[in-house]
This record gives sequence, structure tokens and C-alpha cells, in this order.
Amino acid sequence: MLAAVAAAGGAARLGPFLPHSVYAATAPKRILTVFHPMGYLESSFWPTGTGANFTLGETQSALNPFKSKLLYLDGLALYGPQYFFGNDDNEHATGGNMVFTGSKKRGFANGPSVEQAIADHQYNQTKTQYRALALGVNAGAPNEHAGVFYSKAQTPVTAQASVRATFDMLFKNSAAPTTPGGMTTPIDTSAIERARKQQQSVLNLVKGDLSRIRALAGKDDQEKCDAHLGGVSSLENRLKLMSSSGGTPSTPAPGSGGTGCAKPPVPIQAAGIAERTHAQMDLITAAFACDLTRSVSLQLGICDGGMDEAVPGVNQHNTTHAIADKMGQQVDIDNHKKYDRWYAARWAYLLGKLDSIKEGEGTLLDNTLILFGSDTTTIQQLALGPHYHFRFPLWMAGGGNFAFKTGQALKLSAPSRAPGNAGDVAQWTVHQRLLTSICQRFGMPVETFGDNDPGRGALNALTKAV
Amino acid sequence: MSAKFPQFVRVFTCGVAFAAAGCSGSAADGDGRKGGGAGGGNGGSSVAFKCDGPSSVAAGRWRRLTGSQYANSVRDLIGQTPDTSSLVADSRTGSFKTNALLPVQENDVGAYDSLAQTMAAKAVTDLSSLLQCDTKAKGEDKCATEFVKTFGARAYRRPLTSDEEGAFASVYSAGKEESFTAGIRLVVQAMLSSPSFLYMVESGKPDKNGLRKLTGYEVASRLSYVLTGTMPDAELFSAARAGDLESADGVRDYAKKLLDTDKFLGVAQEFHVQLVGLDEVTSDEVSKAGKFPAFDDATRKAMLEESRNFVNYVMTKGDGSVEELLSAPYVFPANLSKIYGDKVKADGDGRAEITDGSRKGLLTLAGVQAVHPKQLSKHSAVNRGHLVRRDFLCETVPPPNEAVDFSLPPNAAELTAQELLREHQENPTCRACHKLMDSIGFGFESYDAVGAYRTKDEGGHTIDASGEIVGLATDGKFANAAEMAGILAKAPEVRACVSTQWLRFALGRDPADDDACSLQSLTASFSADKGNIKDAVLSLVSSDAFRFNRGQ
Repeated sequence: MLAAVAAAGGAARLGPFLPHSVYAATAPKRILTVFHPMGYLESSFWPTGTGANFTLGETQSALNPFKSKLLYLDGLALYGPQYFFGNDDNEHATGGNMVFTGSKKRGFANGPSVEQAIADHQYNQTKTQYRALALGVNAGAPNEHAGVFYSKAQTPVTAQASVRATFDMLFKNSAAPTTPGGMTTPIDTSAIERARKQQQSVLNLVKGDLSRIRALAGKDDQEKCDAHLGGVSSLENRLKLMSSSGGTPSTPAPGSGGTGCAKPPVPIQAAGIAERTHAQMDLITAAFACDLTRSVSLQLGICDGGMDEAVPGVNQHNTTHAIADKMGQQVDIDNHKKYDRWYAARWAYLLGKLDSIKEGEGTLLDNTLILFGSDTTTIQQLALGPHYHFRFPLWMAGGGNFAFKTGQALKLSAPSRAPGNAGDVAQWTVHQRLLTSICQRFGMPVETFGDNDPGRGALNALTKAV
Repeated sequence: MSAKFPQFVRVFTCGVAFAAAGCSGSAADGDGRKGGGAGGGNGGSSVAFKCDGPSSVAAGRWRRLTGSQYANSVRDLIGQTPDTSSLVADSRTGSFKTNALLPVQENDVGAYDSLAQTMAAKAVTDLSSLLQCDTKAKGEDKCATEFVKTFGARAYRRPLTSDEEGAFASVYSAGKEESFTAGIRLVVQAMLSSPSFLYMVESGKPDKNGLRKLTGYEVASRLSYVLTGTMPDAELFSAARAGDLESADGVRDYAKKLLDTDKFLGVAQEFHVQLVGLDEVTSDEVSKAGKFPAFDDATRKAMLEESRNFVNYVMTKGDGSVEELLSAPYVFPANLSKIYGDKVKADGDGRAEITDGSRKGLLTLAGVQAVHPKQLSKHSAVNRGHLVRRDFLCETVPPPNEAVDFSLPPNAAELTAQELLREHQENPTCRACHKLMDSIGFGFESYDAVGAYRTKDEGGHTIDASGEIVGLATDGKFANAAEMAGILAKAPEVRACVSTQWLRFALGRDPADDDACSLQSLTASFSADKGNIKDAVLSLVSSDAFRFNRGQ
């Protein structure tokens, strides 16, 4: 859509950097969910100490520069079918479907993942150019055993793996400066208006076609038509933003002082896993800084794998098993730590990017809540070791301006051993409560999220940021 | 037909947490064999019901064109092929890319829109050949009206209604304010953005028995996409217009022509490549930890290419049968000397006969072994056995439960595959499922992690590639991969499963009870003689399942 506008404008380039129809009084609240498979080796992941007085886990030391913006919650259980029910729901890799959705069933999740629910909520109030972005590295296409992020029940999101495609979508025809605060390109407003009218005529036709075929469709196919219409609505919204801009080419996020928005470098798809992960993080940072969206999911790998070669010569999945198989021989512990450090280095890169951009009184990171999660995690315990779901490393960074008080390592009361049956789960703090709290900090009027148990609302242990 | 049809897909239920139950689902007895029926869940010959009653078919979903179907269709419409890398991955039905299950993603609608703009702008760079209309003689508007009709009927794969023509006239007007070219450009853009182009819309007409019979145009689209991977050509459109596709025989006649095209060869290649998972051989997810220098990018591409050449040869110079496909003693070694060795030399067809029994059939091609499993593993036999169970016997073996003790013995590195996996055979919790998989996978022990043939394993032990395909109606014991290939190539259970796979591929869904008769005729066709693939596909496209639909 916008590509044609730029083309129609000849020399004039109009990027997707347009003002919101209503400026928010304060900086945007953003959510970023990050998935990677198989968690961490527990013993070297968790911080020691509590409250504000803590030391990062050995493998997480790369995050030291951001310590005041991290928030750990030690003692959560990833609450789903595994371990609790004596039936075949007890499956190898259900955690990925549950972690961000709070769904407790096997297969596709019962509801949206938390960043998509928040995206719906926020987009209803403020139309950003993109309701949400779903990006991935080695994430493949979801199937019924492996879908991490969901736009709604039974509807997994397929992560966009091509950093180039995302770059083109967000920035190819952008009038954004190449450096923060730099010059933008002037715009031929009459060409824009003409292109806008043309695009609207196409969208009108598409809507008409959709409505005609929807009338012929069965129930499942009607849902497909509705999903398609949702995409068309997003396009229409971008068109509206364009016409209301009056030719303003670039609008950084409100509260940023106009300095944060800039085109990221053109990413190269063929690079290694770490480079592609960083390229995705660059895109996320730029998309947030230019306020193109306020909700992003980043999926590294899939449930149980996909990143097995991130550390050359060490297979992540085999390593998690080896830990339990041999009760922690040094070579396997070292291998696991290599992975944990590899991930921590990626997280440090992400936090560094977000924290480098000033926004209002703080940085982009302070206005972005990042929730990191996995499908499983590892403890050094025979049999239970790999693919464990307790003392689960669902942790957070950023968002200190609006979400929770950061720079904290909180300890939740938890049993000392894994529960062997459903009765014991009452002693754990289930992860759905954290998801509930997060939604509430984005202003969602919810008392529960996902398949939470009755009476288990938000998490009281967290301190609100404001 | 009878009210009750045997299950199409055998589902085993593995052990539950901390319990010693096994693969003991309703369809399997203690030997992992299905009680009563032929294995594979749908053996045609032993099914006791008649298919001379009214038509029957299960409900299906509309499919969005896959990335490749979309690209081919745009190419056929405007002569230029779009770059579809901006679209997210196609969703699959079983092994096959079908885009049947998941709805379109929000940002993909934007990607379609951008692609439509780009391609429309390219299309109007040669306006006169696009329009085929004398604008000076007829006038621009008249030419535009004709263009909407003719181009629209191809893009929508059916004639437009007058309402639709009117809607496109509005789009044309919006562009015409800028220029005539812009008007046409906008019409092309709108057509390429339309759901009627992007989806295989199949509403059909009400028929007996609560069914809907697909229109001739809808059948033409199905035929064309399934058999040629792209939109219908002029001849097929005429057939639809003339009502030639109303009858099963009519569909069969046109399908015969399509089966003899190069495009069908491309489809047959794609079917088999996806079936064995080889389409992923070039992806980052398949990696061997840098321990096999031979497995470089060039080798991966050559593996994919080999599988296409292999299928091509079976379909054109071979006898085109499932039997040859699964047991042909030849490979296509171009650019694969690092894997097959220098002594394996290609003949004029690019083919090399393998006389020492080290390769026999599709499953023994190096690439198939290299993608199963995707990463280095001490348990390749499990994964490779699972491939056969799932994709060639159509059985579902559940993943192991979380509570399993995955401990390897401390001396794992010194053990043979059989010794390493002995626990699977001795522990009843493991055995129920693993005897179904491991004993097949042992047959593939002659291939290392990148598919090279070997006689000794990493520990220096002589390979024992003997095993057994448990659960077949006939003896499933074999001494090596070549013997196993021979068994699979003839097994009725495999023919039945391949039938199910073609139905999945063609309809984008799993077969259900109401498809029993369609599947029965398909399986009967595959079971005859060596199982001619084209004959079976003809049987499929003339079946009820292909020509009818049912409301959701």
C-alpha cells in the first residue's frame, strides 16, 4: 500500500512514520515477548540474594549493565497438563503452547498469547501502523505440537523469519532519517492524496469480495474471511494515518523528543543465527522507536529445538538430556552453560539497543516490558532434569516506567521438590498469575488470564512501577 | 456404504506418567498390529462394505494458495514471477504445504497488497500485450471493460458477475483520474489482492445427501492446482465453460492430459519431496554440528535436486509405480560424490545403478537419511523408524512422556545402536512404542548422519542393519535396508497409506469416515500390480471426495 504511495509521489517518499490520530500524553507502553527453547540450567541461572540486593546468576553476567532494569521471579510453576494428570496429556513439549498463553490443554492453545491480547487492547485505543509483529529465528511454521504465540484460540502465529521482508515492510519506503534526529525527505502531498484514493478503491473492492465469499462460506472458512478482513482493516488504518499526516514524514514515538526514530541498517538474511537474531532485535528497536507497533513477539527456535546449532559443536537438546542422564558431568554442565551464556549475550544485545534510545525521562527500554520465557527448563536431578517446568525461568526486563518495579530478585514461596501429583500444585505460584498481572499493567480490566484456576488472580508479589 | 469404517490413521497411545502402559491404543493389539483389518488402517481389499450407494464426502476447508501456487498463478497471469519471500511459511496438512488449516496472518494481507502493487506495476510496462485491445479504435474505456472481463475470468478462475465487473469499473475509474495506464494497473492490483484470487473458493451447488457438488470452474481449479501446481490453462477453462467437468468421466479425461505434462512431474516431485521432509534439507534447522564437512550448502542443494531427478526418472523412464519409487536400485549422484563416493558414476540420464545393494528406493537416498533426524543424534534409528511409521504406514506414534528417564548408559559412546536402544526393548514402558520404530530404524544404520553408506559405526562396530517391520500382514523381517525397501514397496499397508497421503495432498485435509469410498477406490488402484501413481491419481480426481464438498 505505502509502496505505491511512494512510487506515485515520484521523488517524494512517504514512509510509515505518521502521527497517531490522538497523541498519547505519555510515552507508549510496549510489550515484547521472547521465546527460546529449553530454558536454562537452573543452578547457574538464578540470581543469589533477594530484593534489590542480588547478584546475577553465573551464566547471566552479560546482563550486569542492565541489572537495575531486570526483574526475576523465583518460584513459578509453568502450569499445564504435565505432571499433574495421569493421562496422555503428559507430553514431551507442551510448554511452548502454554507459556505465553496460560493455556492448559495439549495442542493449539485455548486463547491468545499475552502480547497479542495486549495488542488488541492497545490497538483499540491507539491505532499504530501495525497492531503487532511476530518475528522469528529458526521458528518454522507452527503445527499442533509446536505453536508458541497465538492471535486467538486455536490460531497460532507464524513468525516472520525473513529480516529482509520485515525491513521492507516497515522501512523500505520510509521517509525516516537514517540517524536519529536526522533529516527527513520532503513529501509531495498531492501525489499522496491521489495514491491514497487509489488504494482505498482497491481496499473497497477487496472488502466487497470478502463479504461476497463470506456469505458462501462455512463456519471455518468464515473465520478465514474474518482474519483476512482484519488484515485489510490494518491496511485501511495505515491509509488513514497517511491522510491525516498532512505530509509529516516521520513521527517518532510521543515523548521521545523526536530523536529516537531511525531506519535500522538493511539486514542480511544469510548471516549466522546470532547475526539474524541481532538483526531481528534491531528491527524491533526501530519499530518501537518509530512507534510502528507496540506489541512484538520474538520466537527463537521451536518447542524442544530449532536452535540446536547456535553454539557450534554443541547440540542444545542433547545437552539438556545429558545433564540428567549423568547427573551433571562437567562437560555437559559446561555445554549447557555455553547455551545459557549464548542466550544471555543475545538478551544483553537487545537490552543494550533498547536502552540506548532516549525517550522522555528514560529510555525505550523503560517503556518496553520484555517477558522472556521457554517451553521447559533444566535442573540437575536424575530423570526430572531436562524439560522441567518448576522454578520456571519466566523473567522480565524493562518497563520500569509503567509496569513493575525493576532491579529486583523476588522469591516466591515454593515447595522444595517437584510435585508428583496434581495436589501439590496448590503450593506453587502458577505462571498464569504473572500473565494476569502483566495484562493489568497495560490497563486491561482482567482478573485472570489463560486457563487460570478459580481464585488465582494477579500476582501480589510484584510492586507496581507507578 | 456401511455406517462404520475402520480408522484411517492408526493412533497409538504411549505410556502415561509413571505408569507402564504402552502403545496400546484402540487400533493396536499387543503386537502393535491392528486387530482384524489390514494394517495401515485402510487396506482396501479387506474392507467389507459396498460403495455403490449415494455420493459421500467429508467437509473440507477452503485453501489459500500456497506460496508456490500463488507465484505460478501470477506468472501465468502477467508473465512475471513474484518474489514470495515476504509471505510467512505455508501451513501444512501432515507433511504437505496446503495452507488449509490456519487463517491468513494479518501482516501477510499487507504482504499480498505490496506484492500486488509491485506486480501490477510490472504488468503495465507492456500495456499493449497485456490488454490485447486497440485503444485507438475501440477507446480506452471499452478496452478497460473488456480487460476486466477477460483478465478477471482468469484471475478469479471463473467468469465475473456483473456486480463484480461494476466493482472493477470503480477501481478503474479511481486510477483513470491519473491516467489510463494507472487505471489498468489498479485493476490488476485489485485482482491480485482479491480473496477470490488468493483462495480456492469452493461453494459448489446443492446436491443430494446434504452434499454440494463443485462447479465446473471449481473442479477446474482443483484439478489444475493439484495436478499442475498453478491456475487452469485455456483448455481447462473451456472445458469448465462447456460443462465437460460435470461428470467423473469428464474430469478423468482432462486429468489424463494434465498428468502427461511437465507440470505434473513438478507436482509429483513436490509431493514426494515434502512427504519425506526433504524440502527442509537446505534449512538452518538441519545441521550436523559442523562434524560432516561433506554436508555443505552445495551438497544439501544437490540432495534436493537428486530427489527431484529420482522422482522424475521413476515417472518418465521408469514404470511410474510406487513399487519402483520405493525399491529402485539407482541414485542420481550429480554433485554428491562426497556422499556417494567417486566410484558411483552417472549414466546419460544422470542415473547410477547401485548393484551392491547399498541403495534401494526413495527412502535410502542420502538426503532422506540426512534430514532424519535433523540434528546429530545417538538415536537416529528412532527418528528414521518414526518416519516410516508416520509417513509410509500412516500411524501416529505419540512422543514419549515427560517422566521418562532418558539416561544414556555411561558407556554410550562405545555401544552399537542396538545396544544403546536395548532399554527400549526391555523396559515395557518403552517397548510398546519403540518396537514399532527402532526395529525399522536399525535398517537405516548403514547410513551415517548425512546419508553416506557405512559398514562400521562411530565406535568401529560392524553395522547390523537387520530388523523388522512389526505389524504387517506379511513377514516384516529384513537383513538390511535393501530388503526392507523391498518389503515396503510391496506392502498393502504402504499402498493404503500412500493413498491417504495423496488424498491429504490433493484436498488439504485428513480423510474421514465419509471419504471411505473415495479412499477405497484410490487404494484399490494403488494396490493393483505395482501401484501406478498416475492411475491412482486419476482414481482420486474422479472420486466423490474430489468433486464434492460438504458444509462445515
